[in-house]
Amino acid sequence: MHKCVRCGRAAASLEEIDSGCPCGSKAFVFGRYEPDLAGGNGKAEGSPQQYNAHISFASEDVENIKVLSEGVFVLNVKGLSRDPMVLKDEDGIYYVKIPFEQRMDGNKPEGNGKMKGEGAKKKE
Amino acid sequence: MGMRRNGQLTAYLYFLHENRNQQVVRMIGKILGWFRKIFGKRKDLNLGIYGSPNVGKTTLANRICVDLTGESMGTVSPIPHETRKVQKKENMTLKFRGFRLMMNLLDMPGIAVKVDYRDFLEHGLSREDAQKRAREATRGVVDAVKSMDKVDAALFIIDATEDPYTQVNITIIGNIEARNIPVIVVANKIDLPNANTKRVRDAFPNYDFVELSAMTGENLEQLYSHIADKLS
Repeated sequence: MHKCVRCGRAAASLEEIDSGCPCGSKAFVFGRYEPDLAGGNGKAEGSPQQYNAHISFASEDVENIKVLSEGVFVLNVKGLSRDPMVLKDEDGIYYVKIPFEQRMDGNKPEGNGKMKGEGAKKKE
Repeated sequence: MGMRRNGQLTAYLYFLHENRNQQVVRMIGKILGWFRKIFGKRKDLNLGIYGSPNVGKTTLANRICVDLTGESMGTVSPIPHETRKVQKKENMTLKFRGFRLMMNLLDMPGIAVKVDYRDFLEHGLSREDAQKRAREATRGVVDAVKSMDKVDAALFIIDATEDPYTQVNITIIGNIEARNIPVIVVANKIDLPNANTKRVRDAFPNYDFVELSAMTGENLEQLYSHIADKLS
């Protein structure tokens, strides 16, 4: 979001950045600031700040997606890139999405479970 | 002049000595390389036991372990997800009708798509213990799935008293197949009256198939025969 360099007020819209801050300044700086959704205190009901206090992935956590409430998720992107998708819902129940490995050669599995080349030998 | 010649000779002899040493070192290196080539390539085979929770994976692992080493491997329990870490028994030798195979047996945690701690409450666990067990069980599922890349062969265990057409079963066999891992489908619990091995065989018709009872040991020789046939 863009903040005014003079008064620190967050720009409410693109038009405001274009026309300038009410304080008179036309200079804004972009940064990762917490959105001011509740009149500046950042504690609005349902806002991301409400959850920030207790959202974290501990080392013992096996889930890489937490469901905090209906429609509110927290992702552990690092965990998702490493492990299968594990979701923990608000009741503490785990759901695991077992990845289905596709054959890289695009061939349909033969269904014999033999080692590579073994089937060919048998056909001879 | 004489001293100079003497010095040159000493330097030459020193050079020869050094050169000789290097040759000896090189020769020893070569011999070690041959030894590594001959003996270093010997790699024990990792045999993984896969399946849903409570299908009898650990019971079978224990049975195989006792047969081959005289020791059991893990604890079994009627509460699902008793095995929550990959259990490994190393350096087991399977000798069967002249066939000899060195292998490591890996008993995997049961693979499930949902782990609900409330299921454990029914078995008398406290809420805290049940939640802890659920977390460990889920980690076990993740470990079991990830370990598919490390096994050389697999036993896929199915409870013959249950419906084999489940999402978990299809996904497990699909993953094993996609990795080209030799697999034997094992219909377990044939000692139970409601076991239906035909249903299991019909569900997975293209795979080596053994029906047995890990509990009583019935048909275990048949399993060893299949392993010998598959991996020889």
